[in-house]
Amino acid sequence: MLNTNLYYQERNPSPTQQLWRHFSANLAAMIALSFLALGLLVMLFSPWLAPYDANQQFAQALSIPPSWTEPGDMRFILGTDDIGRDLLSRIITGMRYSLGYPLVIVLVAAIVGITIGAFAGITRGLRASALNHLLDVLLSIPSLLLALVVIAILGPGLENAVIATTLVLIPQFVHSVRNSFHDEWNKDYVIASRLNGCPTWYLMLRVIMPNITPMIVMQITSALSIAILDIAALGFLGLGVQAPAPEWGTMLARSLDQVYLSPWSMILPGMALFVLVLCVNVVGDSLRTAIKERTEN
Amino acid sequence: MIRYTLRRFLLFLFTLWLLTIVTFSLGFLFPEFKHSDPTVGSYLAYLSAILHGDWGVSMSTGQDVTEQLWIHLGATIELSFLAMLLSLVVAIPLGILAAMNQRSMFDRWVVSAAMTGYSIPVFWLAQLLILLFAVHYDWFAITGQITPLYDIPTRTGAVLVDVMLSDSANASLAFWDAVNHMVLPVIVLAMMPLTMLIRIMRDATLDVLDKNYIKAARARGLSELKLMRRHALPNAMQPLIRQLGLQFSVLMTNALLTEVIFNRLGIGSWLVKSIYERDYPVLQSGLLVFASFILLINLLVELYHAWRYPQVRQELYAEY
Repeated sequence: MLNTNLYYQERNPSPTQQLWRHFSANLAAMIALSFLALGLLVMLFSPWLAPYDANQQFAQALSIPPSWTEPGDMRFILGTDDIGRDLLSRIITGMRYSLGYPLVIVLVAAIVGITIGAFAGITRGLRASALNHLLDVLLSIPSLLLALVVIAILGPGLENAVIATTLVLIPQFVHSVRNSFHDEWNKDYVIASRLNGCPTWYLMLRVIMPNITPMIVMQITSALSIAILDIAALGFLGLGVQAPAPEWGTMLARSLDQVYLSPWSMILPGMALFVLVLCVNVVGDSLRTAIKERTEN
Repeated sequence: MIRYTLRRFLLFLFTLWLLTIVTFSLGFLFPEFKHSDPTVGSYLAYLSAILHGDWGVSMSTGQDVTEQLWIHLGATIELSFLAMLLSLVVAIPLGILAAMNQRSMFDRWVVSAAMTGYSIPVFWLAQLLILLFAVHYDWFAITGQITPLYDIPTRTGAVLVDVMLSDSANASLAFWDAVNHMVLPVIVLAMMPLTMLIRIMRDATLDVLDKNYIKAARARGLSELKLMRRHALPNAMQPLIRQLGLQFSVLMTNALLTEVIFNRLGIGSWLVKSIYERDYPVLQSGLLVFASFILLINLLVELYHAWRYPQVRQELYAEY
């Protein structure tokens, strides 16, 4: 392509572009990100990708080990569980619960939390102080315990687990967004905009927000990892997703009795969960490093 | 320091008070458990009952909740403290060594192992360890606190302490049996704080090693060991201690799951069981104690942090 840029012109990449340069230089981060993208695709197309229905039972094929072992069967690539359900289909279908629901949860929690946090960030005085102390207390209590309290009130079940996890994640967003708003508020560029007479909504959305977006994305990845683990943990305890649904935590809980006979029915769903959480954590961690590198340069 | 302590302590009391309101109102949120109307009078009655140690009677076992509470709390304290100790003992040297050899093979290995360990779901790790060390090798026991053959009366709930208090003829055998039951849960519990603490310790040491006073100490010709011990380590410990409270909260969450998996006595498994059984008096007081225990540990860590590192107090009061 013809270079039309005749005049020397310094092009400053936007903060997001700079961040992407640092991020994409990290091989582990890019691998994790592509795994996540792959996981998302598998989740979206799970009805077509899963070879069988998740709850279809093959009475002739109980507890068949994965196909790469001697007694394995090519029809069931990852083997079957103790009542003859195909593990591959269950793991693929289970992505909806173990990745899909956490994604929705984090999205809702982020929208609510960021809104509250933004308004809390620009208020001063007693109200702000009271909110701060309340948040500190809420954050020092583990998220799973809070989710358990909500479930104790609402009763076990998928919907209640989703509600509980969402409620639990909101304070984390409020806290971090409030702090970054607080930090940005007295910086020169915000003061300049305020002196220019920008309305509050413009200040929040167009002036401050672009500058704290990387921080929010980082918070989203850490919330996603918490949501995935909490949904799985609640499923494991039998308080979240209920039994026949192929949620990974629930599958692990079922395999607790089977682990001596069919270890693969425990190792494989757990491996899926582990890889998913690892990818989310690696992306979040690399993002943190990239942000740090960008601000240091 | 007195000002900070008072302020922090008042906040703690205020938080506890809020917690009692929450647990009190839980009593009215439960669908089939309405003993009286939610009035100020009944709240005050609830509060005075709690303060007098009258926590009610379990609906499923008919036992006195207060008595049970101490036993379960004792078991959890024992398990979580041992796990925290293990993670500190392993994490601090590893973090320092990784920072001293930054970008070496060892450093890379430690950092990626820490990332991996941090991402393993606790309940899966527990099952993997059970499969490997209990089913395959048959080294460790996986359920309960101690083999019931040793007739050890439960007094504190902390099984090692109970064995030492008992006058059983086989006390030393019983002790090692209890330890054998404890190895896997402690390792599982220690994993997550361990990996986090390695990263914190490594980053903190790297920060400190960049400082001018380290360069000055090097210029004076101090040996590397002395440099680390006298100048780097005390300063690098500060971020670690600041994070300890949070790490303890994480550990307590995992204790909840670990106690269920390994079938151990403890406040976490007690709570989960009470949710299954809809045993509301146990649920109410279990929640109150579990949350206050975490808050208390956080308070103690913060007080120690502020006492040990005066610059923290200075920062606080210069700002507020």
